[in-house]
Amino acid sequence: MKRHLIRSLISVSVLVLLSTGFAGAKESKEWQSLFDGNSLSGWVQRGGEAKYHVEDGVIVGTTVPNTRNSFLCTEKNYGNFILELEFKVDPSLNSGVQIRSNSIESYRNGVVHGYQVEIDPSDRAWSAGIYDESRRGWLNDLRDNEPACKAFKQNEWNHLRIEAIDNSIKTWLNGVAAADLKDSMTATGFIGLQVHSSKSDKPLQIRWRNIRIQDLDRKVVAAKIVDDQVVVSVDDEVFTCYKFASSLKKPYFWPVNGPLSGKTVTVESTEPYPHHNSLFFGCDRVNDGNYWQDTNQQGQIISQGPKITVASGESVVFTDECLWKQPDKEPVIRDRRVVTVTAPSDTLRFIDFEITLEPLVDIRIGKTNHSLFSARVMPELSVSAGGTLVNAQGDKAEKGTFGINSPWCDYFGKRGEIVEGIAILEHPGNRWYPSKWFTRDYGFFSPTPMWWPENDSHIDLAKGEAVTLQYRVVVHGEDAKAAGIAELFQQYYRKGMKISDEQLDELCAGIRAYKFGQSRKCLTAISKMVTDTYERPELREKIADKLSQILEMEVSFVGKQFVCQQLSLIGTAKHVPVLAGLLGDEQTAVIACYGLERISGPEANEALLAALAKTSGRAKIGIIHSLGERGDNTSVEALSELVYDSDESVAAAAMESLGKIANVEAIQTLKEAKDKLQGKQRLVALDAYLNCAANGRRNQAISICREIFDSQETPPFIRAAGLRRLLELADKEASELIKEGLASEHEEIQGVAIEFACKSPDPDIVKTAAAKFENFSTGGQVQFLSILSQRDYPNVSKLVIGLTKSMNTEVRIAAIKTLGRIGDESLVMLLAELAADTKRATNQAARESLASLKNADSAIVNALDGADVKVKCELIRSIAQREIYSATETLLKYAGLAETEIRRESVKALEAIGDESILGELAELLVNAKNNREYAEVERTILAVLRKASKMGEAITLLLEKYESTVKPSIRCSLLRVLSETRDSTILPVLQKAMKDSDLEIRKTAIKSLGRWPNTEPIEDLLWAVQNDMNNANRILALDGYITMAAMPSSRSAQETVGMLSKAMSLAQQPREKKMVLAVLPRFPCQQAIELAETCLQDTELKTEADIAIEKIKANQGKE
Amino acid sequence: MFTGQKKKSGGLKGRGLSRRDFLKSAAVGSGAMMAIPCIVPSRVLGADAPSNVITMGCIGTGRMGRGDIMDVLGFKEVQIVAVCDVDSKRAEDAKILVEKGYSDMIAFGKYKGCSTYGDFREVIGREDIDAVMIVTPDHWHALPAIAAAKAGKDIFLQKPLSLTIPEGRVLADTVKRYGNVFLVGSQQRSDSRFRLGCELVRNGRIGELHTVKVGFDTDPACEPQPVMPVPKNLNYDMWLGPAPWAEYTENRVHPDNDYGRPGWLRISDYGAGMITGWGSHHIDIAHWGMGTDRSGPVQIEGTAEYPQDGLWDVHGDFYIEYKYANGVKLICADNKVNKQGVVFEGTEGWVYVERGHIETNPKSLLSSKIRSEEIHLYKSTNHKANFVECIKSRAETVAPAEVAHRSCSACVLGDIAMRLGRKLRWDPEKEQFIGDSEANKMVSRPMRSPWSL
Repeated sequence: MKRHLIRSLISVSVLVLLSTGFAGAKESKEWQSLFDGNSLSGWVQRGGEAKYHVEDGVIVGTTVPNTRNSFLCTEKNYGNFILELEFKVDPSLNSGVQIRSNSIESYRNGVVHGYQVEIDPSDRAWSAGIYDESRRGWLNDLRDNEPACKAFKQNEWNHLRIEAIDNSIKTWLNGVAAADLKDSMTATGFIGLQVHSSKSDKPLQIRWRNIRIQDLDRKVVAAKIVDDQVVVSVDDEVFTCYKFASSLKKPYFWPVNGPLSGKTVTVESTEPYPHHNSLFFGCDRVNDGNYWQDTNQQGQIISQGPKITVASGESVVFTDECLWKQPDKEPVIRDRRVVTVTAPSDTLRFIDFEITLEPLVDIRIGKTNHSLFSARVMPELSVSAGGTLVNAQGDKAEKGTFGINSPWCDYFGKRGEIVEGIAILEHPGNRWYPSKWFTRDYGFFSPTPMWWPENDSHIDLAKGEAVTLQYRVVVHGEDAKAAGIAELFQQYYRKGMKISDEQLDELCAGIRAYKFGQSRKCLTAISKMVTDTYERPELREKIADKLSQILEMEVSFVGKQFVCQQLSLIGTAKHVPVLAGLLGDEQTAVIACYGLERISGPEANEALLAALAKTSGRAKIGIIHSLGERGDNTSVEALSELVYDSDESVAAAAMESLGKIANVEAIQTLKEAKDKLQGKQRLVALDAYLNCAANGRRNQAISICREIFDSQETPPFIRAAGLRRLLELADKEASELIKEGLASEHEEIQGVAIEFACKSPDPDIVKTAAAKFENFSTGGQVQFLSILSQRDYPNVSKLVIGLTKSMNTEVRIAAIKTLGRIGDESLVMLLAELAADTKRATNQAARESLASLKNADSAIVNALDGADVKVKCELIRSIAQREIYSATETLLKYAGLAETEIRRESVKALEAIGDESILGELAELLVNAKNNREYAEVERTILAVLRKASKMGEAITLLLEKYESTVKPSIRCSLLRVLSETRDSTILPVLQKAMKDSDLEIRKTAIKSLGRWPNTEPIEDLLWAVQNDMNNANRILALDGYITMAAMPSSRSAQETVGMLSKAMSLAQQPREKKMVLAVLPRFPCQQAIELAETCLQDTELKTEADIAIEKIKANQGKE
Repeated sequence: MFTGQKKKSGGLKGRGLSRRDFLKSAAVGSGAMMAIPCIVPSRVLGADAPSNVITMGCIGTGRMGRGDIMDVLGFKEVQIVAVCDVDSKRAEDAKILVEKGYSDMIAFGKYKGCSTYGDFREVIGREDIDAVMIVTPDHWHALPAIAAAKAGKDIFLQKPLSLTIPEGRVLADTVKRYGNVFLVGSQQRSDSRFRLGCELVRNGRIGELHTVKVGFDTDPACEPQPVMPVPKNLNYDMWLGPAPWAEYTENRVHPDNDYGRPGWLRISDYGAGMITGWGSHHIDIAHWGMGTDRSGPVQIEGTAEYPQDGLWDVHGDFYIEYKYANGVKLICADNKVNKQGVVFEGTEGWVYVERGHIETNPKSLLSSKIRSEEIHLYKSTNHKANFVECIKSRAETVAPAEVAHRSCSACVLGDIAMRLGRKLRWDPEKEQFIGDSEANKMVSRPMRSPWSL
């Protein structure tokens, strides 16, 4: 493909240049600085928490103890490049420069990895060697390159040069060639400045400066004017031309070439709208002119001749000025255009189009569908030809996007094997942003506010009232999602954001005027601005400055509160004084803390401390809490003084804050306080003291917890908390501590000891606890057993087994449950016997345990033979619960022979484990069924097995054969019931035949089944039975079925259904049969229904129901 | 926040003698700090009463609180002795509910013995209370629960666990420190369908899990609301508590005259909206099935529509993508994108579970047996009964604080990602965003004095 060709050409040319020798070689690309000397913009920190800051044009990295390796990484990725920089490193710190490095989720949770050009001030001095960070380790050390080792200058600036070209990485240290590596593992990635992790409390530093790069992959964009066109090329290939001949209706861009195919994505002109010129800006109905279509007579946008301001490089820029005029008339609009073209990657091209319309007279633009920035794509990309048009919300095609507000739309489609497209992004600063879009499936799209003017008629622009509109056109390979149009828009939006003083002033005025109950739009706008300027520190500062000014004005409390909340996100040391000014007043002090609590640096802390003495009550408490949240050691002295404050809330807050800061002094204060204070305050002190043991140094924590645990005057649950933390920290001492805890008279303490004993990896500890079991309270015993059940621990099962006989219900149940978890197959009989126990709680727990016992399937089946009836039943039950399929044969045997209880339990179990292969045997079981209940149970099992059958047809055939070959009516009935439940159509003829059987029961079963058939297919059969079955009960059953079926939803008219019901009525003999008809009649409201009901009015037994029916019919008629 | 704690007996938990002793002494001593309620006769509460009765205080007696109280009235081992609400009308209603509930159980006579409070600290300060049930608005979840934990009470807390991630961290740590039994109201964990669904996933029935989809409904916006006088029965300053100050309007708080859906659910100062409302159910289940319920996502990206104006300001339609360290993707979105419930998608099938419904592909998974040797998840069949059982056994509940904190964190992370609109990377161990200081600030919220974490 073409782009590959270009890439390899560059590489070749670079290699050729390099092969002629480094010193004399001309650079093929310009140097770019990666560091602006003032800020870390363009860099992001990854990995650990080391600090990076800028100082006198130098990036300084400072270690933070106990954090992982940290990296300050470029936002951009670089593949082929030459990088130069200088560094100066602390002799005891390791560092390095990552190149072609990455951080991706799929590789070790995003760890920064890849080539590291080492910075190594240690004695071996392997600086400029190549190490593979978090991957393969050393790739090219310098043990065989003494000159390079000697080149390193300790405590001085060192110069590093790195050339990464295709599979070659070479380095130079202070001009001396160091590493020379051939490796092709990773072709591209970011550049990162490492601060190695450090255990040292002393901050160590590394400095970098003069970081510059030649990006050899960078596309060179160039522009030149050729005749009446500005021709823009990318790496010498034409990308687009801006056509500005004065004969044109309006200037436009054509072609607009796709980055993959090199073919244009837009069409220059096509019928029936030849004026859709590729990519253009125009407008109809401007006063009396038309600057969109029609002849030049109607109006023309005439270029005054573009000027190129940046002719080549990463981007090109040219400007143009156009006059909107009709021949022989004065121009009505002058527009100024700034066009910037960039090629950020192989697959992306941007055209940034900025236009300022200056009305030279008062302008009225009538409502028009022909307006502003527009594009017309190649027919092959259009929706009509199978392309896709999508907007920011994911709405698609003309149908989904037309008239919908959206910040962007993208048109893309297939061109042979590849996909290309063109998106128009609206600038967030545009008036009407985000505009409604005029879109067409045939290939046109444009943000067109003029078709939806606010007053639905026109838009006025006064003379001199300039309007600036900006758009970014993204020409891309692949579809919208793969090209990342949404992210590109976010980028465009954030980088392009401008915040004018007027805009801010207006919003601030809004905040000042804001009262609850009014629109909060200006607050929302500020919040959004704060979020959106995340990568624009200069804008944030501007916002924060403006907002902080509000605090010194007459503003409602809600307004000030809002400002303080925003400053808590974006405030800096600079805003501390104004926030501190609010600390004097109790009400505003509370909200000032929102900001001060979170602004880093010593200033905020000092301000809070200074205000401490001057405040009281809620304000003071707020300040104390903020100091605690900040965790600054300098606050400890002042807070310590407040621990015995007469205001108990103040004192409590001070203790809580000290507990959070937890340095040596804070711990000392709390240690004393917990002894001096009484009651409630003492408990606060204890909790804060305990909090100091939550983090930080182990020895310190141990001594705090030991003291609390040993203190007899302390409430047991707090002592227990001390013990718990001690045990968390303990290793060797654990068993002694647990013994101490177990011996305690306090349940809370004992409980902690039990918990840790059971969780301990040391078997002796569990044994120790088990030995004390007798001394535990009931709760302790239950706790011991339930924790034990969460792990495998066979050594104590003897104790647990004994407890299954305990007289204490709770202990007994807990023991049984525990056995289910920790026991093995040897417990099968014991649990089965317990499951057969008459006490409900016991047998439930035992059944559960029997079902969950591990690896016990064969033991359960083997135990069946010797067990007595009740126990056998329990074993069978567990076979079902555990779904032990291998027991099927055994259960079939039991189901056929044994005692009633066992037989029934087996039949039930087969429901869970049986499959279609035993259908025949199951049907046989019907022979032995003693009563209706047993028939029902076997039927249920057969049905359950039938439902699971993979070959339903065969299963049905088997049962049908059984039915045909069986004589005994009760068995035939059972089979009929089961078969009819399948609702299989092959059963209908069988039922129809059975309905005429000589046996009353069989007939009854058949009629019942037919009456429950899910559709009306057997309705005539039922009618036949009503008329012909001599048995009254059967006749009524059939009638009921007939009525039910007649009333089923159908396509019949109400009259037709009533006709059927009328037949039922005539066949009904007793009043209760007629009532069945009356009951469904109202569902078919019509005159005939009323008439049918009226026939019953004479019958006193039916009158009430008939009246009700008539009333309902009439009511239902009304509804239609 | 501590209150009288001087003589905390082993009361806990009604184990053996200490509770009985306490009640004896309470019955004798007339000058006890609180009026000791009469205890319901043992035949009502079961053979072991009163020594084994778990005494409970209910904090928050609104729409959800009343339902939870009614659930608890059904447990004979528990007796509600205190109800508390910042709305005195609601507290009184709850007292009537409790006393009538117990009176109905007694064949004759009337039960009286439930006190009302307006300040949760008084309930927590009562030495004779073993457990509290906290059913307050979300911004009032962590603080009373932390205070109760510090006072040694066992705790039932409605979901979501907390308003912010640090609140949840402190709560989980405090509960761990004092060993309280703790259950959060994510009752889907006690629903056999959800458990089965998760067990199928955990035991590889759908092959390798790669995507989980969670869906639920969203909240509407409303107009700006008029300022209204604070009802006399409402302690509004206390209701606001740690949240920023704001003028009263009924749609901010709860209906003054009934127990309809309260407006606070839709205001970001008091909650995050459905992302935590439903998220702490469904994302909780997603975590359970993924086996990540003591960890969290490593990357979050989201978009949502937020009302630009009006009182209510939590998210509307939304879409969040989480990635977990094990490579599984969790997509949480409104019902237009994802259906209500949780779908686990694996290389060999899927499991879909919502309330009252479970579906699998292939269908046969539904009847597949989780054998005794396989992974079995915590089995609880009644959420509140699990709480009561664990108070007795001191075992961990089916929805303990650490797990609830992780579920809630994932929801809150989603909210932050939606608000910031950029890709965020999260370190679940440190509970911090990686390389995004602003997002890290949004993890917590400053509290209005005198409240603090």
